[in-house]
Amino acid sequence: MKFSLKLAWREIRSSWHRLIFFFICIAIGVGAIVSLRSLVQNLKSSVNGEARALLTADVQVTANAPWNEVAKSILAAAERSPEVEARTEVIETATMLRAADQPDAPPRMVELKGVEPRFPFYGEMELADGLRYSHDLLRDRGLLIRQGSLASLNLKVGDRVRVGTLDFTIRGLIVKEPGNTMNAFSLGPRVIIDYHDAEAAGLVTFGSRARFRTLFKIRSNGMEPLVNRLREQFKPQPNINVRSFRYSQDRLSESLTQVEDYLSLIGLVILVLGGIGISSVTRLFIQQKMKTIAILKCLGGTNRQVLGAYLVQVLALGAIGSLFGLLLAQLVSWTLPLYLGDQLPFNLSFGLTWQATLQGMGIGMMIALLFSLLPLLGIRQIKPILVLRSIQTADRRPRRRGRIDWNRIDWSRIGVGLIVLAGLLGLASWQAGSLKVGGIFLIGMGATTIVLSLAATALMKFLRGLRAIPSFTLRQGINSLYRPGNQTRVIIMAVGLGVFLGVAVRSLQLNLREEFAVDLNNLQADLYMIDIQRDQLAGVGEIVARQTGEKPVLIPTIRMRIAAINDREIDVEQLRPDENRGLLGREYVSTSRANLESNEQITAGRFWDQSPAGDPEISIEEVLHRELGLNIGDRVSFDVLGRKITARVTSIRKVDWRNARTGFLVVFRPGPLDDAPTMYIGAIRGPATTFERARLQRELVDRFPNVSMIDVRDIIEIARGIIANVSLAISFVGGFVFLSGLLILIGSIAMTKFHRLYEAAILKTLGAKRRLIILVTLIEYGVLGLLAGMLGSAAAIGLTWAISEKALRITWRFSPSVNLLGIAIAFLLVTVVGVMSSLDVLVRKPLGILRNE
Amino acid sequence: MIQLSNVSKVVTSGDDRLTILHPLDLEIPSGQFISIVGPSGSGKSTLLGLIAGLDSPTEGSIRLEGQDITLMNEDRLAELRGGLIGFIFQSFHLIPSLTAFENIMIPLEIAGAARPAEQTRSLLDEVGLQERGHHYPSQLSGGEQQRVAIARAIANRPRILLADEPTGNLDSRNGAHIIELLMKINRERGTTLVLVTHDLELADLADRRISFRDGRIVEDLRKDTPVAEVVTEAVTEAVVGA
Repeated sequence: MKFSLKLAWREIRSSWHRLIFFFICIAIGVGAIVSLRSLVQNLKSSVNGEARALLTADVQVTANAPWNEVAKSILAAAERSPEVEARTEVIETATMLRAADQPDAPPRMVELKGVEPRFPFYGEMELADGLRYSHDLLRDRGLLIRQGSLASLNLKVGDRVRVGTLDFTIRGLIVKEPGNTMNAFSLGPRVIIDYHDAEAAGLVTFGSRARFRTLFKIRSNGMEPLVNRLREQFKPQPNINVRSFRYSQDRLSESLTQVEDYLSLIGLVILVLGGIGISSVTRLFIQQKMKTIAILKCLGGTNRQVLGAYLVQVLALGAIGSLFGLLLAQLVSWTLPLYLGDQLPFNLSFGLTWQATLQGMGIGMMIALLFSLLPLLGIRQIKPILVLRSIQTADRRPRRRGRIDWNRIDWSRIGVGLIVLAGLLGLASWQAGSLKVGGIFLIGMGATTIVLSLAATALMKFLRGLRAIPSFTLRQGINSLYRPGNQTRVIIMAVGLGVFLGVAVRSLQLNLREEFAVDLNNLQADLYMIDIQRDQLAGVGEIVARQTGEKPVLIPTIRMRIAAINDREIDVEQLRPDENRGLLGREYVSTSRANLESNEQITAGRFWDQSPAGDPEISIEEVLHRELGLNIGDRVSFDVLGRKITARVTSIRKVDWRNARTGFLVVFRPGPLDDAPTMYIGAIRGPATTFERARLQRELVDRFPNVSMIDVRDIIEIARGIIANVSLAISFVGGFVFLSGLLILIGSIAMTKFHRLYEAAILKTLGAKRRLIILVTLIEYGVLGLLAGMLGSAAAIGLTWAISEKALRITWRFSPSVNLLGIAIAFLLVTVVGVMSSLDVLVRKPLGILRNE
Repeated sequence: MIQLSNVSKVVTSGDDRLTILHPLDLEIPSGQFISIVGPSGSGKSTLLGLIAGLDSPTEGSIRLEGQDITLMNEDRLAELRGGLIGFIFQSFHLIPSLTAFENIMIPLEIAGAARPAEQTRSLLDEVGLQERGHHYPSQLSGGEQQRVAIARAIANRPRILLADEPTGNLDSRNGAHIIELLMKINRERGTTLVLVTHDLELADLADRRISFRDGRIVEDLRKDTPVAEVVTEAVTEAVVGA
């Protein structure tokens, strides 16, 4: 052992530069894992530290309708209970805001919040220009609005705006607001006014989309009993929701943990790629060290001692690489705040966490060990006789065809292979936080590797068949691809994977962009009006008809939640993680009608006829059948603003959302909902010019302040912004993978230089000029780059098709330019790197090289 | 004592079989200095490799100090090479990444010797390289490299020293130095010395000279053997060989 350690140290001391590539592979992967994990862990601890600020209270009671008398008395009793220190009311709704003094300015949808003086119990409101938040700013019709949203409205602080039926003065700009979690999607900027002003502005009518919140501040230890009591008391009213800050904290931590695990898997992809590089570096390293190993064996070194020495080297390099990775992560953590600082709702520290650091180190070492173990086993096969002759001629028994010779199977290699596989599975499962995901990850990686490697083998076989090429240069270039010790397979795999991911990411981005590059002039509807009340129907119809020449179709809608499925009560707080919280907990906007729309198609059951039914019947969209397992005959109970309606599923519909003015997940048979509180929505094609659109919106909102307008053009803008962010993130990851691929490429080429030097020396001795050697090199790497590019691009076509059509459900479009560009880049990159690293092959004198051999 | 009985070596390449060594018997008593001569490809280096356990014979058995090495596994052989045998190569085969000092110390460390550094210093003294211990092989001349290799070979006081054309890559002056050194070791330590060489003059310094051709021993000349006997043997060989 002592000898192995000493030898390892001496070897590293003198040949570390040959293994630089080895630890760069580790460093990049570890850097990625540690920085991603640290970021999310910091985020998590911030969430824990500021959990109360996320809810702005200890306990929150929420309803989607104004408090009824029962609720009011429960809340009042709660307020008087000894646990409660204070209570405050909040109201939230989406509404339209418009400049009061500019009659032609278009209204803009905003997320309005009405608050009382005590808001918020926890967390700080941060305002621009050093202004300190106090409720006095909201007194006498004061209004605060999110910073950065005034420019588009052509407004400034001090200007007057109209919300609902009232005029307000803008008193300040919100920079950070407690209780606002990172919402990727909101309909408009946040606006805060006084609670009573919100009521007075006529924004809160029965059936509107306002949310009512009562916030409690609790004395110590009083929280759990109060929450339990309130939940019990509100049980008969399922539309009322009670939660403590701890619940939000748990929920957020849970999803952050998932994010962390998935991000780590991305880091692992990079590391496994690095691992492939390590494996090939180790194999070549051992090949180059054959003489040394043979000498050691001549001097009495046993397999165990020599293997031990090289194993120690690998581990040491793994450790150094991991340390470099930590350095890299530290660099990332210093630059990250520059990009993320202002986008987060609360203060976040960006340092590396010790858990992430330890994990990164461990994973780096494990990858180094796992991927070098098999190549290191080759040490056992090196015979000491090698010191006497350069080529090993052993008196092996010739292999009998078609029969397995059990004596020739290297059981310890198979055993180590299994251990490596188990180790990788353990690593992947650990990183993913689940054995299943880890297994899928490993199988996916394995399948990709096997496919690329098989393709590379097939291509090499095909090339071997081309021996009869008359051109010497071309033949020699192609021959080089399968010379002994060639790195063809590794380079094809590394570059192919790089091209694969690069082309796939780029094509997906393009596909997504195409999908949202909606031809605005071809939309079925581009302006939606919501929250129209029954007595406003005629007025709305008149304005729209006058301004657009089109009579709008106004559809009655009722908002509801799922209360029970087949008598099993749905309590969103108690759902298992694998249940679809999104679909079970969401609010459904439903309608009732006797006919199918042109963009609807029945896939199961039968749609009802014109006659009204006695028992409630519903038709559900496919997604509910697919995700919630709802089937014909199932009974679904809905909570309609406190009233419970149980309906039977009688048909399943497929809605063509791309070709829709409106679409409903749940449609009722006319009858049972006729007397429910109904709000109308309308979808129209608004005027083409911005001015006319503004005029229409303005007139509608001026006359009916409770009606909100959603401009599809704005929504598409928001969606484009989100897509841009997502693709930036994907590009970042793709960049990391690309970098690893490039490193493997450079490493592989550098490692095979020895062979090329020798071949070139022989060619030179036989009279080859430099031009010929350059040409041979160009052909060798040109063919290699071309093959890798084509393979990767073919695989990318498959992946983008699958993701587009199966996961994102968008139309897949083939993008030949991206694929051709990917192939061209691979071709150029491999050729340039190959030729550049072969420059000294041209310069070196052949005699020295031949003598050394 | 080195005893070879009925040892042969055949290699196969594809369907071709090539006999490198025809079956031969050979006995080398302890402490003897013998030289092996013959043209390239006559099988002399192969024989040396077989004696060192660097390769295994196709047939026959090889005994070193009474132990049959053809029955030993790789690790047992490694142990043997570390203790009983020292090997010197024509092209030195020093490990380029280690200093002269470290190269010499390797066999001591592998064998787990006590105070290897001290022993290494005295070995450096013995080969006259006190000042060059911290140099890497590439910084040493050929003669110096070979002296390092000899120091390394004798580090564990092996009873058998095998040298494969140790002067082949050296000029005559340096070559003479090396041979002197080897003979001194043979004399003073009583080490059996087997020297493979092209140089007949050098071969004649040995107690006994064995000539090889085409994988067979064609002459076995002992210093104390009368000439008549040698001639008779040679004639017999020639007749039998024909």
